[in-house]
This record gives sequence, C-alpha cells and structure tokens, in this order.
Amino acid sequence: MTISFDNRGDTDIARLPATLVLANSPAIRAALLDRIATGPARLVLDLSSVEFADSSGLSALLACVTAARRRGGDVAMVSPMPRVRALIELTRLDDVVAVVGDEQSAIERVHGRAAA
Amino acid sequence: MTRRRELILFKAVPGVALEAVRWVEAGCARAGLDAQRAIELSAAVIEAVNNSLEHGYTLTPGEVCLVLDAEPDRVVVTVTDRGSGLPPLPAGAIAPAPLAERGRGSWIMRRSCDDVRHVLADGQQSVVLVKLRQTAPQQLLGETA
Repeated sequence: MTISFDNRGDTDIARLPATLVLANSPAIRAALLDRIATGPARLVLDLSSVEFADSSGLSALLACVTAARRRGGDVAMVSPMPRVRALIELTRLDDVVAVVGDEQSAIERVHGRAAA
Repeated sequence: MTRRRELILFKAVPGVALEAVRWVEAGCARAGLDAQRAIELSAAVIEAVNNSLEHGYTLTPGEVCLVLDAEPDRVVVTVTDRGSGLPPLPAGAIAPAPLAERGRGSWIMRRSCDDVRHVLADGQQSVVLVKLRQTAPQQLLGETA
C-alpha cells in the first residue's frame, strides 16, 4: 500500500495506490483521516492510478468526505480510471462528491468554486 | 454458442478478491461477454468474495469456490464458501444513505447484475450472480422493483 501526499498551500493532494480494496482500505482510510485531522481538511483524491476498488475502498473515501466537511473543508476526486468511474456512478457517489477530470478543477471544487 | 463451465478454488485470504476478479474477467472474455458487462459483473464478484472473507470465514480459514457458467444468453458466476454464515441478501436493491459508510456491498451486487440469489445447501452458501448478454426488461428474472 503506497499513498503519497502533496501539499498545495491550503489543499492536500492524496495520490492513491493501484488497489483500494478490503485488504488495504483500513490502512488507507487511517492515513487519509490522519491527514485530514492534521492538515487543511481540503483534500483532492487522485484516483488516476487506482485500477481496482470495492465497497470497502469507497467507504474509506466516504469517511474522508464526512471528516473533512466536519472540519469545514471538503473532498474532491480526480481522474478515476474507467473501472473505478463505473463503480462511482453505480453507487452514485458522484451525487455527493465532486468527481472531475483534472487536478486544478478538483482544487477549485474543494474551495467551493465551480470548475472552470 | 455452446455452454461452458469453468471452476476454480481460491484460499480465503486477504487480497484473493483481486485474483478472483482477474479470473472472472478472463472467463468473461473467453465467453464473449462485452467488456463493460464484464466489468460490472466483476464488481459484483469482488463484493461476493469479500462477503465470504468478512462473514463466512471469520473463525476458520477455508476456500472460496468460483464457478463461471457461459450460457447462450448470460454469464453466471457462483461464489461458494463453507464458512460460518452470510447474512441473507435483502430481497431488493436497497440504496444506502448517500454518505453511509456501510451497506454498499449488496447494493453493488444488485445494481451491477441482472439477478442475484443467495443459496444455502449442504453446509455451503452460495451467491449466484447473473449477467445477461443483452439489456433485459426491468422486470426480468423476478427482481422486485
């Protein structure tokens, strides 16, 4: 499990690993929640490397959304691969979280601005 | 096309769901199921295998058996374990609350398949996942609205 973070001022970019499934989602969830608790609570989840996800992985991401909003921030997702996008649409996650195609749009969304 | 059955056993260990998905997608390709439907079916398979890991084998290690049946109008994947017990699947597709962190596994199975059945027999429990080759009427296969 490899997750890395970049900081862009008052926004964190989390680059998620190739899988987001039962075997690693608890660790990913813990890492993301720790970052939200100690960081700016504005988080962009870069899904561009995630090949497989399941309901436990989506739950980890939803936990981040709830935690960030409680702290007055927000979460946006960027560049899901087709398989993950299908899962997001199937579960209607995109009804409650912004899912966009590029990082700058995601940063704008977590600041409450519409994507350009 | 002719009917064909493929079968494989996996040890019920963390990470096995990904192996199962790859096996199912290869089988779907051999069966001629289109790629999008194969992806949708594999999303259900990963949840069914996860259920076996989370609920079936909480006390003892074991195996998960996958059977892929390629039929003229559908592909059926049956996920079977001999674990301690799955809770029965809900009769219909019940959407979890938008930000709920649990309850999406069954929802994903229902939404991504044309039919889902839970079978208990001879100490085994199976989840039967049915994917049609073509779009079907909504009321197909006795699914409740």
